[in-house]
Amino acid sequence: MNKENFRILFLDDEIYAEKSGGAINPAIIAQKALLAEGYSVDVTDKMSDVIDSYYKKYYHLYLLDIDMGKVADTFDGNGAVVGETLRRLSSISNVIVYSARGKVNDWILAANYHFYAYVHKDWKESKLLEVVNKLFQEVQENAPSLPDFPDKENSGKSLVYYETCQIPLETINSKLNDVILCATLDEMIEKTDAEKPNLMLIALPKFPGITKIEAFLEKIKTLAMRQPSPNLIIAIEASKQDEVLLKLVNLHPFRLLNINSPAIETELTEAIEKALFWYNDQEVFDFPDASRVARKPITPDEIASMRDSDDYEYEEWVSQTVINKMEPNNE
Amino acid sequence: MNETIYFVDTNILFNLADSIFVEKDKLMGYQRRTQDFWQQFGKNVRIPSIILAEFHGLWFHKNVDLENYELWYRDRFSAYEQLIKKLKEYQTMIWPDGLISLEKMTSISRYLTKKQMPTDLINDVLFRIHGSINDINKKLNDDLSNNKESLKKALNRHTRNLKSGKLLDGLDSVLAAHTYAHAKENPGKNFIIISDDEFIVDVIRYFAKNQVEKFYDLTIPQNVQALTLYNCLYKRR
Repeated sequence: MNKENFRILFLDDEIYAEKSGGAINPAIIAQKALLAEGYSVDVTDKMSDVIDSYYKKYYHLYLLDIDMGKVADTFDGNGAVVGETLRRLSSISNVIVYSARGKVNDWILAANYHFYAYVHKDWKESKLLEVVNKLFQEVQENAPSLPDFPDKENSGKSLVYYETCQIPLETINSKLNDVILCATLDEMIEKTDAEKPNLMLIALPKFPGITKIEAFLEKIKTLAMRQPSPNLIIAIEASKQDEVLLKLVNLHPFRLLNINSPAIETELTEAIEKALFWYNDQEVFDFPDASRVARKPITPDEIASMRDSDDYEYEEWVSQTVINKMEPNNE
Repeated sequence: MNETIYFVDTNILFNLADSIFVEKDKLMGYQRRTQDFWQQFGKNVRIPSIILAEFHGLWFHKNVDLENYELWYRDRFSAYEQLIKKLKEYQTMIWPDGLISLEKMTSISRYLTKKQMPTDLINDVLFRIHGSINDINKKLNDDLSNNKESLKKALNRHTRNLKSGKLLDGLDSVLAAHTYAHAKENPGKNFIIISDDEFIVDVIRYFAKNQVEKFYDLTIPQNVQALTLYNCLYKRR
């Protein structure tokens, strides 16, 4: 595939404005950079257009701004919610956020719906190009392939790295079977091979200090690369718009939880259930509800055209001809 | 009590796929029953790999929109992954091919189709079709019946089947062979093929009912049964 065949839909509420806040609009700069790189770029300033376009044209990448406040729209939400909807519609949808304004909740949503990347506009178009080029390379090398019920043995044990924080260790122990407590992240890395765990959980109150942060992120990267067998959940203080948090988002943990969330226990339970459910498999999200989507991915007529109609017609007439309803067979 | 494994035919997988995007209160009878079946037996349902291969072939390689392939494929993929998600929720898995060789399977399949079928089996099939025709006619004569169109269609189909029926056509003999091969390797388990193709059910049921241990030189394991989905849910064995 050439870059000109790699189609990008770029959503930004200022995409038609040359200037933003007196300066040259970064969205325009990014658009020009992508075009100069050779990509095919369509633009829109409306979230509802993105969803409409989803049904009309195949895009390899949806590039989304978060704050869409400057343009009136029928879509309820912001760019992150558009991304969530796209990821729910199909796991083939690649989403990159390019925004200066997103809030921490948007960052967490980007991580938990497995967006390809979150690029802050302060990181400039060069970083965006780097990420898009990487995706372009991956799309070329890996065609979408079907999930196929992979069956991989694990020990049923969970690896936990814990520092005293808002979630008591007893709570974590009560939610997981067979916990192996790791004293360090290095130990956790070692044990992912030796113990064949079904889950990795890291819970800590805040990020390590500045001198240790790069090493910390490097270890998280190593652990995240083991996914999806096992998946990695990180619960950490995620209430400040801190660049380190954004770096963590881009390391793609299975779930990133804000330890200060009032609903942290419920969120942790949900995250554990999903991480175990999708062990050794790519997560598929619930299809969006009817208010968000114009149509389903397949119609009953399309399904009927693929199959032998005799079989399901049988099911219909047999139920009509059986005069006395039978008792369910509970054997 | 021996564990029961339910091998589903392609049509049953289609029934489930067909029901996924339908709101609960709008499910048609067969869609609702399919969900009930999976709810009840899902843990013990296994999808033979040959069935999944056939399903993939139909789902991703038939009626392809070649002019908008990427868009078309994305939608098919999206629908398929929702089906997989549903199957995972029901704890259904693919049955591993294990040590059963392709050669063994195809030799059984060839054997099942190269010999003339027993006359008693043909009589059973005819008996079943005539019975269905009678049932449908009775229902058609019932003034209260509110779905005469589908009954008439079924009547035509059954009448047509008397002269133009089938036995183990297409992949059916492979599914039967696959099940027999795995049943032989797992004598401690019962295998039930679930299909809405009544003909494969007729054939397998004939061998089971009459305890046919040999089909000419082919040993028929006695731990294999076949049922339609309806009969699996409601006791009509």
